[in-house]
Amino acid sequence: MFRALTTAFLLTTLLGATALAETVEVKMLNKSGKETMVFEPAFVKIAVGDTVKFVPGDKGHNAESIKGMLPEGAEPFAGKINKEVEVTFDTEGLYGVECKPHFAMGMVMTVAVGDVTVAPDDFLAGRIPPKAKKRFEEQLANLNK
Amino acid sequence: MTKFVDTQNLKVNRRNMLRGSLLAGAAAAVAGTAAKAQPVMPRLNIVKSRPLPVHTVAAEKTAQANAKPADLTGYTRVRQELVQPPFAPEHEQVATGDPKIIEVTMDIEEKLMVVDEDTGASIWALTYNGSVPGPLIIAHVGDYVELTLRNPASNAMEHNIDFHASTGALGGGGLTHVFPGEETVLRWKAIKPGVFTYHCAPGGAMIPYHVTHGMNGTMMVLPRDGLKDKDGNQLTYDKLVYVGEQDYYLPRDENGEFKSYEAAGDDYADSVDAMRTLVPTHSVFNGAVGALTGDGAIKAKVGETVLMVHNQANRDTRPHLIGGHGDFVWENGSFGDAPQTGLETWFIRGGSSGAAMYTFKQPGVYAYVNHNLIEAALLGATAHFVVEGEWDNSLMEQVVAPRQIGS
Repeated sequence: MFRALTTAFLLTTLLGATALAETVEVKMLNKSGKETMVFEPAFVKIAVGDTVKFVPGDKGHNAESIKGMLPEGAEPFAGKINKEVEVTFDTEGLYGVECKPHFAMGMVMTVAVGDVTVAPDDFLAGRIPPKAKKRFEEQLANLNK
Repeated sequence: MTKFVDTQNLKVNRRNMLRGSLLAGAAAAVAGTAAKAQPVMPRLNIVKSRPLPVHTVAAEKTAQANAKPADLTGYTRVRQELVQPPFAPEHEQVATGDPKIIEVTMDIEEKLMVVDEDTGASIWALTYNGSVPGPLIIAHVGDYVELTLRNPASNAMEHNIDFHASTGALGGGGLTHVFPGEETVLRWKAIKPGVFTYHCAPGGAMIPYHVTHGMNGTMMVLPRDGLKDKDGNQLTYDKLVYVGEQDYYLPRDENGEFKSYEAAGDDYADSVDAMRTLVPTHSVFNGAVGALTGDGAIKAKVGETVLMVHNQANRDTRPHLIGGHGDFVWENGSFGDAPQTGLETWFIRGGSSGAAMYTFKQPGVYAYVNHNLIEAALLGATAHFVVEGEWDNSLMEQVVAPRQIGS
């Protein structure tokens, strides 16, 4: 009896949590306004356990985490070119995401998971193409808003 | 010896196999302690006499940092000014003096080029020094090539270079990734004689994308004592002609017209689809249909010996000189092998350069073609030699001009 109750309690808790978690959609585009090769939106703030769905609005793109730009202990991810991919973020912190073929062209975005107000000191310390770096800086300005 | 590689975590999949850093890293790990004694990658910043640009790639320095510096004592530095194809930079056929460090610079330029004036087909070409193919670089066995590769901030993409003539780090590809605004310096020793392809190889589908957008060329490494026939007799040429054959896969719209794009890289997704067909829309010499015909035709004289260097970085081809021959042919590109003689057509494997030597015996126009004649006539793979001199009736004579049969 006790076991059954516990199970029921656990199930409710788990299902409840799942139901509360949100999914945010991010489009991968060749062009948006004057900007080319973009994630839209390029900055997303979500809660731990939420999901980002990367949708290929145009062909030739993917979404993957950038080495050195994700929280310690977080699992790196890499979507396939032209394929929709859903990533659930279970570790709090800041994530840099790139489109592999268009990294040098500045196709990057930032995902802030949980209570992040400041970027880690070394977030932009890696070797980042100038256009991508500029966009990252713009994206990080959203952290305090 | 203990195994150092955690194969579980290496994730050597098909895509990663083509990426530089991972393989180079894996190689270093496999070599283990040996990596210290024998560097997987040459050290970059060793020459003290000449300050290297410091704004270079922070390449993975693991194996390199521990390796012994190359001993460059006794080498003199010379600068080779690269020129646009079909011409060759100034060079010696037989090397004088000791091996040298040959400094060359290549600026990467992403530019809109017309491929075929008749149809208006164009491409945002990716180029070394603004030309398709990239410039011919020439060294002798034992020389070092020291390349400064610059990717100006005006470009949109990441680039690098893989020299088939070089040894290690994916032909230098693993050490030369440069983003817009960056430059890098790579020094490698020419130890294999021959003509070799070089090309951009940034990783994954970007490799064929860059190669089929013009980013390839030839590195020629001459034996120190020059070219020889099979009996060891010296072979010299009066002129070197450098032909780069380029297969393009240009996307078309729903009406079958070639599409145009606003900027370099915009055609990426369409190009990948077009490349997948494996059927080129164009196969041209030196960047565009007719680049080496008409005003661009190559001039020669009866009695002149021409070395024809032919590069095809991606696809098989079969050069043929209509009305002439290959007197001496290194079709696989290796000057370490004796040349074949008297060939009608020679085969150049995709991903290599080859060379053929011919002494013109008759004046007139010679077509130099890819003897898949569909490619020569319909896709653009034709060049012309216009040869001046005296006609030799002992070789050929029109005995009867065309006339009515029986007249």
